[in-house]
Amino acid sequence: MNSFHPMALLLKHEGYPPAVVVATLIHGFLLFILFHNPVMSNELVNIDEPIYINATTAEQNPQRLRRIQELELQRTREVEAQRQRERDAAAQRAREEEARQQEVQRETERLAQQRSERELAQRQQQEAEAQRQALEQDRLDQARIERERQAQIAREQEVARRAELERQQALASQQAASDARAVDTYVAIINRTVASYWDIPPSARNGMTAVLAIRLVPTGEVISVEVLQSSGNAAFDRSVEQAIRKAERFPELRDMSTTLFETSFRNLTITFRPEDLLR
Amino acid sequence: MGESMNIWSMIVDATWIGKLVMLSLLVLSVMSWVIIVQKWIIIKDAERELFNFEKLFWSGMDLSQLFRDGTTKLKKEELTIIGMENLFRSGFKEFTRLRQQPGIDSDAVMEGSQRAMRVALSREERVLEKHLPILATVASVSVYIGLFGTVWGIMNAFFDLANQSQASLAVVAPGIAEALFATEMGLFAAIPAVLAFNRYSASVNSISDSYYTFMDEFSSILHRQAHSKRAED
Repeated sequence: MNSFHPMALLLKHEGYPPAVVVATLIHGFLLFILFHNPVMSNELVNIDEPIYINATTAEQNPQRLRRIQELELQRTREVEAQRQRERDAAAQRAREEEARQQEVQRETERLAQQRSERELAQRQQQEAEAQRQALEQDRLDQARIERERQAQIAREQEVARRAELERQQALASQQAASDARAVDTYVAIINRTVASYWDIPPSARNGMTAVLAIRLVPTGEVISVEVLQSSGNAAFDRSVEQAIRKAERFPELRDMSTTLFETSFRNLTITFRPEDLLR
Repeated sequence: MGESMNIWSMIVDATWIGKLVMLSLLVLSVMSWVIIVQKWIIIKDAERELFNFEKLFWSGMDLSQLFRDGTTKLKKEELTIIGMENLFRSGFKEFTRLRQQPGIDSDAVMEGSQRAMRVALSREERVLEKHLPILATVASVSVYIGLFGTVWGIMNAFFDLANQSQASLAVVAPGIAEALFATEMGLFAAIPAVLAFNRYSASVNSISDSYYTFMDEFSSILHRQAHSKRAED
């Protein structure tokens, strides 16, 4: 009874120090569990969604996807700018060429006038000019040579112009190719946006295709949606139409060049497949 | 909110009312745990002392010897005498002191020693019951604080939802998770407090019952002694 017992240590100061220590330990442990809870961390959240494996792989790295798209857009824009620069340079050259031609023409006209004046003087002083005719002949020869030279220049110019035209045509076809790429990118963006608003109707099956006509304005807003070619499943058609209406606008289209918009996006025809939208 | 959702970001992103609720619940929880452990130590000690002293008292030992043992123990160890032994000591001390007064009535002696024991008893009870009301308060209030935090959080989440043009689960989910976290904390504080309060009230009741019983028994012993001594005189 009077031997020392372990309770004596606990009982000092009415047992408060050990109580504080224990309470702190309990809460510390609790916080530790809370912050290292696998349910609350990302790994398990991802494992939790195996049904949307496609969705997770796409969304797991949305930044990468966005970056790729941005790069694509940037590249398109750069190509566009480059082409613009080239066009400007060509126009500049054409202007210079024209100025030179005008110069030459003025020269020709002036020469012709001088010549006519000279002829008038000749007629008035035919007798007096008999001795000078040889000289005059020389002058005429010179003028002919000059004309021939001018014709030669004109021919050369024609050749250059044709080459320039060909080059421009090549450029245009190149632009068409990059335009097609840009169109693909924007269509993909539209597809993705629509997909995020899409409520999957239970009757949608892979292999269905619905062709829809979307009318857009340059700000990316949807003006009207129309089913051009039904997938055969009214519910799917309707769900896609509803998704586009809900999307309301595709703000990415604002960055697009006006010509590209006018050629491909003012009246856009898109084919939707359930497997595209699920992606 | 971003794709990574964890407890820490949830706490950091909470509104200041949410933070206040969480903080007060944490404080209440820590407080109730301090009291739970402290009461556990005190009550266990009281029960142990009760058992030991009762055994000693009924072993047929001479009472004055027992009192002297207690005095030496009090001197030797740093422990204070608590519980039943304290009752015994105050009653016995008063009894012997009054008995030494010449010409005192035996009923007066009994009355004096009983009064001394009652005082000691109420002191012991106060030690045992100290802080138990705090546990009861934490048990009942922390649930409501948690509920308040939850309702506030969900209300905010729905305001956010109303401000969005497109309603999606991702908009409200963090707010609701934060809101539910408040309830979770409230429950975490309340459940141990309720359990401990019930448990400790029962223990304190049974201990003070034992004290009362002992007080009566000891009084009857003293009564017998007083009157037998008086009869001898």
